[in-house]
Amino acid sequence: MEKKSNFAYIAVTALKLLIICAFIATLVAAVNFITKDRIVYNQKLNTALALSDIYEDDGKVFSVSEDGGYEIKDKDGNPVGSCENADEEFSDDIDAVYIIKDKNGEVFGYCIETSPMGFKDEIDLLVAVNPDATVKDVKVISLSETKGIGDKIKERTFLDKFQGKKEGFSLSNAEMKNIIISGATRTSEPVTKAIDGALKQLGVLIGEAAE
Amino acid sequence: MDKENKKTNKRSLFSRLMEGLFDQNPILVQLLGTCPTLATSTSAKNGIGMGLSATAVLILSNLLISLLRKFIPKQIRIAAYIVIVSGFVTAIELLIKAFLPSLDASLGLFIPLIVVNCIILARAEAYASKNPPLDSMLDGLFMGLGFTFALGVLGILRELIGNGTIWDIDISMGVYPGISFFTQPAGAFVTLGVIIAVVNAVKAALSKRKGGNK
Repeated sequence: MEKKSNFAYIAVTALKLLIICAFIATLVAAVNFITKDRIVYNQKLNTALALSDIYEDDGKVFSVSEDGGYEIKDKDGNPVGSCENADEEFSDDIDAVYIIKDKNGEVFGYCIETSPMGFKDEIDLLVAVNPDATVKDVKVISLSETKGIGDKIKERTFLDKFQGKKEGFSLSNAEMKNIIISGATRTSEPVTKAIDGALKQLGVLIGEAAE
Repeated sequence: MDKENKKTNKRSLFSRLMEGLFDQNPILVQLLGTCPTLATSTSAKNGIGMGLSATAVLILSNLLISLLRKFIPKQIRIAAYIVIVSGFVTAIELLIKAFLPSLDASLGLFIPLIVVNCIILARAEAYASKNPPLDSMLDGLFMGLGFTFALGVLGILRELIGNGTIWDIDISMGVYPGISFFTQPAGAFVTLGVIIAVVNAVKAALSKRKGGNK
């Protein structure tokens, strides 16, 4: 009899906690449903701003188009090119690869969105690549790394080290030693490898296109 | 009779507001939540943003915990509180990401940490689990305002002394370069210590005057 009442007590307690969890999960799901499109739009807007910053000298301004892609205009608002999503299967870290073309259809760059795992969470990176497959620039779109340590990867002194790098640069110990930030290895190392990984993926894509 | 009750309620509301802001201020008096206080008070915008986010979580979690106080078994109450608080924190985090992206960029890392902010669990355990919903909501509001007030003052002082700006506006017209020590964690400790000392001195002076009047 006592065993039965113990079981009933455990079952009721567990059921009550389950009900509370289910209620909270429903609430979070509802808020997620309301906010998810807006969050994706904000992320794309950040990427568009970063791309505009990278191609500022070329007079190109990027914005988010209605279909969720990117539009390229000049400073007067006239369309000057396109940003096509390379719709292929990529490795886990690569979120998207965009081929940036001028209005004549000539490729003047590539843009790779990649999100390697940092020390705490995923780091959203934007790697802009020249037509000759060397790095043009790297921007950190978002990160949740420790302030004053891991977030040093946002500094230009770190990001500028990647300019002009070619695929496979991270295989050299000397290169890695020069790039990695001492004290923030667990953030700067995955970022460095992710940038090289992005170049590798792009190399495959360019190779396939050439074939 | 009704008028008298209303008067008593109004007076108690005011005294509870004062309690939250000064007498029982979670940061300046109870010294709770020091970690987010020091980390997020680098500027007025960050401090007030963090304070208001925590206030929203405090009000909502106090309300739900109070509504469920007879439903939640005593033995699993902490687990239930954590689930409730973390649910509201996640919801607030998503809303900030969607509608206040600039605040998310500067506070993003600290918003999820509101889940383990001891002010919220302390108010759930000490107040919301024993009092009716409206009272619990008001407790969350007043304690949250106290938290926001302390974070706001700390943020304004640190930003002003550290950068010469308030709310990102350069009020020194570029004349004052700022003392970067105050934007660092050590500067946060010193500034918080000075604010606590000033609040204590004012309180001591006020209670002395009250004693003298008697």
